[in-house]
Amino acid sequence: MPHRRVEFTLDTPAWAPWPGIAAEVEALLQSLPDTGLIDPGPKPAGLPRGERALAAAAVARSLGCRSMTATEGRQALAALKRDREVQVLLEEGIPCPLTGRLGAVISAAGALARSPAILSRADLRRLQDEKLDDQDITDLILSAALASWTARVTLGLGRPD
Amino acid sequence: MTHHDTTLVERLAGVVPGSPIDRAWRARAAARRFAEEAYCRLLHPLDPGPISLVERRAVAAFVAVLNGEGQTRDHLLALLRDTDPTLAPLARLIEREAEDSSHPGPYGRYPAGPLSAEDLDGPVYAVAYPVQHELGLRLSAALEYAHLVTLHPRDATPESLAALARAGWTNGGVALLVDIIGFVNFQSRVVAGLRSHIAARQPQLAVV
Repeated sequence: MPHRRVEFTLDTPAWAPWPGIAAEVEALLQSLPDTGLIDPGPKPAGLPRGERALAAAAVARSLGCRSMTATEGRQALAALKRDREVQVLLEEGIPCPLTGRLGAVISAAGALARSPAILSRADLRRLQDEKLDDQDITDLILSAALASWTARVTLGLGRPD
Repeated sequence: MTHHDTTLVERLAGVVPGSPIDRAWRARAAARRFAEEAYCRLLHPLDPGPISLVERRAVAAFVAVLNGEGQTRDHLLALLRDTDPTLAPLARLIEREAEDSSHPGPYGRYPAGPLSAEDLDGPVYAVAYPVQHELGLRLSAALEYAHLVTLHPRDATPESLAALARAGWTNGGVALLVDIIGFVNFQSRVVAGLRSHIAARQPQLAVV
């Protein structure tokens, strides 16, 4: 795997609003959704936390938000312990060459990051082939959609990195 | 089974009460409630504050048309039109402006460097002068910003906010504006995703 693009990294500094709008942004950030809103109760369990973060990271990567890609990417890495897959997402972006379950999650999140968002039958079949059930797929859709909201707020109001 | 407590997402996505996807969606009670409350707070506010009801709904309809999810688009265009009996022409204008400036996203440019290989060119939306006259400076600036943040958000700069300020937007108004834009991007994707998921299950149901 060529390691040529280093701009999307896990240690990108935290996001900060553009000067002058910090106070209003502070209030807005309190109300913003995050992937933690998808509160998996004991049953049904749904998409694991690391994969929800990975889906959010894929959306942030697709939109070009380096700080959010780093934040979600770190959470994905901490939960999944899959260094290579997270690194490939950071370096290659969308479309993502990864196969397997994590590749299917990233590809579906990338499809939902597009405008228009189109989750194709092929995307869904790939998720089902990787044993994602209705709850998992619903969680993936929610994670990607919430990240599509948050990343736009961060890019619209502050430094991308 | 009857559910009187349906939310906008379920209605737009065509979620059948009691179906497996309905159960999966309702199992995410906090996110489901959050989506409905955001819709009410942003597009049916008790106190509109720094953005008028018409401005809120005009921006939301514009973003929905840009995103191309049919149900969300129809709903938000109708919401704008029905805000006031005089608004049908504005709704048509918003629809046309969005259709004419819609382009597959996300695109945009990165600062010069290795990521430049990922640069994707696309249109920068600027409201034409005669249309600006009809929409007013304030709403024109809001639509230009909504187009940027929806389709090529990586191109946003401090100048994007300065343009809003010149058109009379306060910081409080801008924060609400970007929240509305973000929300419609969220809503369009939840509805598109759930509809695709539901549609993909149809052949199996037909066999049963």
